[in-house]
Amino acid sequence: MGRLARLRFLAVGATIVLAAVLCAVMAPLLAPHDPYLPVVSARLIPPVWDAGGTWQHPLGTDPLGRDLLSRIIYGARVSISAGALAVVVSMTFGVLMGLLAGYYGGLVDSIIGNLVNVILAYPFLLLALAAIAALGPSFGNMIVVLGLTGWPVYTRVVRAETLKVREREFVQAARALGLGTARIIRAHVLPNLLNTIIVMASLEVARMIILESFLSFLGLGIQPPTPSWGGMLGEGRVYMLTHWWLAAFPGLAIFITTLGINLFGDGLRDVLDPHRVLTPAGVRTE
Amino acid sequence: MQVYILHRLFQALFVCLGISLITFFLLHVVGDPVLLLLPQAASDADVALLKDQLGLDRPLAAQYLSFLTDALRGDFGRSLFTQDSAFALILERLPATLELTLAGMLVGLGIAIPLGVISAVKRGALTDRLCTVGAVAGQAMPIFWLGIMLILVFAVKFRVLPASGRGTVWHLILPAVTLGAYLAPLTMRLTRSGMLDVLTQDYIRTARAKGVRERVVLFKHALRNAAIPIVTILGVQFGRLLGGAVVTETVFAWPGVASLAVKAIRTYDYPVVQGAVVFLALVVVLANLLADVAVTFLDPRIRLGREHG
Repeated sequence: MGRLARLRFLAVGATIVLAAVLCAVMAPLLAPHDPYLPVVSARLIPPVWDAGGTWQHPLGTDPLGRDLLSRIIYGARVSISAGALAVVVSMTFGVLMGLLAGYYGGLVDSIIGNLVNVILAYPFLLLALAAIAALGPSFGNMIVVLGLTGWPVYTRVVRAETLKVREREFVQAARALGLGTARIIRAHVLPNLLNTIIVMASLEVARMIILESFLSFLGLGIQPPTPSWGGMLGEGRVYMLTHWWLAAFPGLAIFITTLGINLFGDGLRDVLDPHRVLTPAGVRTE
Repeated sequence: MQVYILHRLFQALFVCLGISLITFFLLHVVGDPVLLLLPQAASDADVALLKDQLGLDRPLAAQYLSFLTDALRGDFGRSLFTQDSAFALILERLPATLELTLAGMLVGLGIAIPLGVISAVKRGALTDRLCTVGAVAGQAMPIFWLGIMLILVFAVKFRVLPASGRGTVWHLILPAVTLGAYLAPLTMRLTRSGMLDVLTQDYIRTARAKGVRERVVLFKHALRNAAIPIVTILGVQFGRLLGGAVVTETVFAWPGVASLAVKAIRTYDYPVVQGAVVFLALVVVLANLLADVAVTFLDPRIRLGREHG
């Protein structure tokens, strides 16, 4: 695919991401109704283009008469913040582990390497579910669990890159000059890995949003009445046979957002790291 | 070769030990089973009694050790609610999970490999672009939503397929498509990039030059070599596949091991959770091991170059 087409993808992705972030930040200004306010007279109104729909509630209402569009706009807050925070936690921990394993090698490397293997072999979702069951469902616990289960992806890649950078002349020179390890890692190794890390992190936000939605979908993440896309999808599933829009739109919101993030991340990779096209994050094909 | 396989076996053993330790730690240290099982108003005497009954008053290390030795004998304890052996529950549901994952894998690979090959051969053409766009969209798709949408369309709207449960081959279609759609995008991209790498090699040019038919060149000469990264990744991806099974089984009420685990997690039936999670993780370890060994058979170069990798 041509470079121009890829840049177009990047632009589309950036637009979607920006729109989602705007929804999250300006939800009170954008939402036409109060997302928490039940209106008994407005229960289960279909979307505007269905028979019985109204422009008052373009995407319809839920069984409590709350406006679906407003709840979806507010739901962006949960998904965006959970995705971003979970990535910050897992990235910080994963990168640190990768740097240590790659720079020191030997015993440190083999301990961290085995830990990574253990976590990667563990069915990720079950690990997260078991941890949430043990800790109890809440926003904070969800971030901790997602963060602590998502780090090995970074560690693998950062370790491999650190191994390469460590042998380069400028790092050897820094060592010969007597610089401390911490300083070498911070000033000479890390900056060379930054592009790779940024690309991975941006793609991981999408994965974390999907995981957060699934946890909330199962009732183990964000608790009602706080509107979250996954939670709404879980509630909507109960009414699926008769009121399709309740499950369809929250899921569509998740899909569009993660699609935007993936397009953005893929585009970013082409711009920042043109040698590694078309390999998904964390997976090297050479 | 034998050294390499032994090394991998040893590593796998270590991973199994780690998995059992993490699971035990999560369920017994991070969460206290007794506090989660009893109502909040329970008296200290009740707590002590239940601890005694479940053997939870012994030191943690002793508990872990007996969990480990029992597990080695295929004994994961009994469900707190039904008193059934956890291992028996898992075995009972294993065929359903195997059926679903195999069907999902068939659908996924059945879509991904032909599309990946076509995409690589027609690089830059409209087909290639459509496939790439499809793969990007597929990777962003939350599959629990996809499953629900498939139910909405095929079970609710057109009433041609059952919405949930297991039984006939018709029941298998929607869950298998959902799981396949989860696996396909990444596999397609890997097949495409693997084929692109291989198609520029000298031996492909030689094969073409000596007049071998294009179909044979593509599927015999090229795909076999492109298969190496695909098989490796599939092994690594097996954990992801089981994660997909967790989602799919939940959405379609598919009576497999993963939905058993999810149900047990919700009721904190920790012997069943321990059993199911450790069991599924062992399956992943085994799959990774098999994929690694399979790759050494596919490509003799690897077993020489990978001793230290």
